[in-house]
Amino acid sequence: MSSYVRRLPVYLLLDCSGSMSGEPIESVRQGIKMLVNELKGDPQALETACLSVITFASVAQQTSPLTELMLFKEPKLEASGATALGGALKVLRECIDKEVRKTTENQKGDWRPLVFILTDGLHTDDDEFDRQTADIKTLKVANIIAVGAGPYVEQATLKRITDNVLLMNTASAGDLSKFFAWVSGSIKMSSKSLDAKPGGAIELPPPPQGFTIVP
Amino acid sequence: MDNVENNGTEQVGMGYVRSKGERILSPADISVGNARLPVRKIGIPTLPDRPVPVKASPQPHDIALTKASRKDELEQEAVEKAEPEKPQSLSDRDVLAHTASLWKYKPVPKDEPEPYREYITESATLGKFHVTAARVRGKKHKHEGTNCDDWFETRNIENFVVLAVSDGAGSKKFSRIGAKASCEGAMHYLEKELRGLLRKNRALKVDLSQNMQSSRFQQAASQMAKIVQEAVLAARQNVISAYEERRGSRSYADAVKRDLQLNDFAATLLLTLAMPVDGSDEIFVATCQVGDGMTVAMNRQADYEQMVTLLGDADSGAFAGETEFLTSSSIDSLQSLMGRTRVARKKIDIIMSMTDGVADDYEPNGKEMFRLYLDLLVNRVIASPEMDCLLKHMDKMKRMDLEKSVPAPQSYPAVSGDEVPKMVPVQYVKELCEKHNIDLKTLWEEHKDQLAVMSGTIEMDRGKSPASRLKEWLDNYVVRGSFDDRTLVILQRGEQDGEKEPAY
Repeated sequence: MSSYVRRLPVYLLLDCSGSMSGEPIESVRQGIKMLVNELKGDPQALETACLSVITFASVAQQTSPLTELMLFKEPKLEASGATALGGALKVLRECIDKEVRKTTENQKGDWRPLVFILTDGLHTDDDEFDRQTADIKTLKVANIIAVGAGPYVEQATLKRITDNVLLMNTASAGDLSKFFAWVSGSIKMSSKSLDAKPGGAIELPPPPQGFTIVP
Repeated sequence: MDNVENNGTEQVGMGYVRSKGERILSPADISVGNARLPVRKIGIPTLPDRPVPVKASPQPHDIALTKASRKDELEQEAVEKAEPEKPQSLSDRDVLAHTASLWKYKPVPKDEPEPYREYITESATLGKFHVTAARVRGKKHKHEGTNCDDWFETRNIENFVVLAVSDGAGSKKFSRIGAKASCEGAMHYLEKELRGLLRKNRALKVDLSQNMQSSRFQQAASQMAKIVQEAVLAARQNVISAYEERRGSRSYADAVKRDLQLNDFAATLLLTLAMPVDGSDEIFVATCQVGDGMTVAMNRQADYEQMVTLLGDADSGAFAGETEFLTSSSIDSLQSLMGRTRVARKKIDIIMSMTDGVADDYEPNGKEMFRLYLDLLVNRVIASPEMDCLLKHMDKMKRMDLEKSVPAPQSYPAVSGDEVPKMVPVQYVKELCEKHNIDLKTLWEEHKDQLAVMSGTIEMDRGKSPASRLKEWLDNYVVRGSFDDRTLVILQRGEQDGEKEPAY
């Protein structure tokens, strides 16, 4: 009897490049702490969602494997180096391949993963980025939301990853805190509305004040 | 019409029959054991003079497993097995023990238009059947203080028993009104049209008992399929009317903060029409389903592989994977309902129709619906003279041994408005299978005594109707990630063995 519960896998792809050092990376640390605390008080999220963090700087790596919310420990985040967003998408794909249960004849798999990308600048790994974005929209392996922070973000680049792009004016403590609060709300909402079957459009709460949805 | 298979289930459209055999469980469908673990038969201590080491199982307890006690248990196990420490992980029970205290209870809001009751139960004799049904508000809706979106109706129309079960779309504010309109619309149509059809065609019931290859049966079956499909379209029309009646009203628009839309009333429908075939123990059944949920027929006398027949398909729409509702624009003609219609005539002693709140806890339905039946059995929702008899005549020592080997009932605090939440002990057949690493087939064929002993651990509250037991079970069984409204309608042949449904 190998039945298991269908999980909602959530991946956070976080920019840890040099430009994030100082206040922004500290805000991200605080944000994750707040996010996890918030979700730990929500029985629906606890029973369905699990969380992973992938960071990208000069290289991309999974800093926290996909973990039950109850067991999740915040990763140690440091900011330095370049912005390997293409690499992060590659790691994301490998992790989804490895960690997310597929639907088989005997068992319904996990829900389609929910992915939040946070970046404050342009990617620096063009080739990998081109390779990864070539088919990312058509594969539909995940519901991806890309959020750009600050003036150096290129909308068109983020649009190559996903149609769901949000922009915030700055990478300030205030905006980043709003971002994580919104992610928390989105995870709660998704863990509730899972009866919208896989393949259906995701429903997310309205973005916080000061955030713009890129049409 | 010679393509009809003997298994008795076909998709039937208007005036023609298509064979569709794979709705029946085949031996290949039944997993032996499970996909991951090797099957091991359980050694059952039968001889008292040859004690078999059995780990003392915890006594039935009235409190949820706390994290501490679970930890102790784990540590104890670790010592016993002296196994290297596994990477940290949590069992579903650990998570459930934790979330149990986080679920809040908020009553149905009173300031919204048309609040619906928290519970609905029904115990009734309908013609030659007995129906036991209950609908409970899901933990999600209790937690958020929102209405239950499920609905069901049952009727006896000239010895045809009709069941309608509907689930309003979770994300829509007034889908509960759609769910009720859906059930009532179908019933209203059949009350009139089925009676009319039976008056007009007096041979219909006789025709349905003819040889299944005969054109008389084929034509009658097609007529029944058609009337079920028409009733589904009438249900859709009734949902549209419900929307139109409320469209202009301020209080509804205020509640959604915009003008009403038809899909605010989005709901599913599982419609079942069943008739006992005179002079046999067969039942003729026609179903049509739009959206998720499941209807299943069982014959407990059959071989394990033939016992369960699915009478629906949650993903039978043109766009597999998408949830369809009665309000979907694709549900517009009899043609669009053909793939969603099932007709069967076979030996059946139980029919169960349920919303996805129950069906999704028994995935995949083809293999797991029998576990639903067994859960109902061991929790004494469905009476089983066979189990009672086994228990009554069981050797005392054997029973004591078996009591040690079956899992103890689990209780979690009920999500209710009570100051001190009630603890309702519930047995899970899955736990028994996992504990002894056996599959359902082996359990049923070789270890019925275990099931009997398991049902013996559930205390009987005398004077309680089966429907209130069903309600209590639906309201209290716990599955991780399952917090939807739950509706289950159980139809049992009443007169088959001349026994009346006992009231507990």
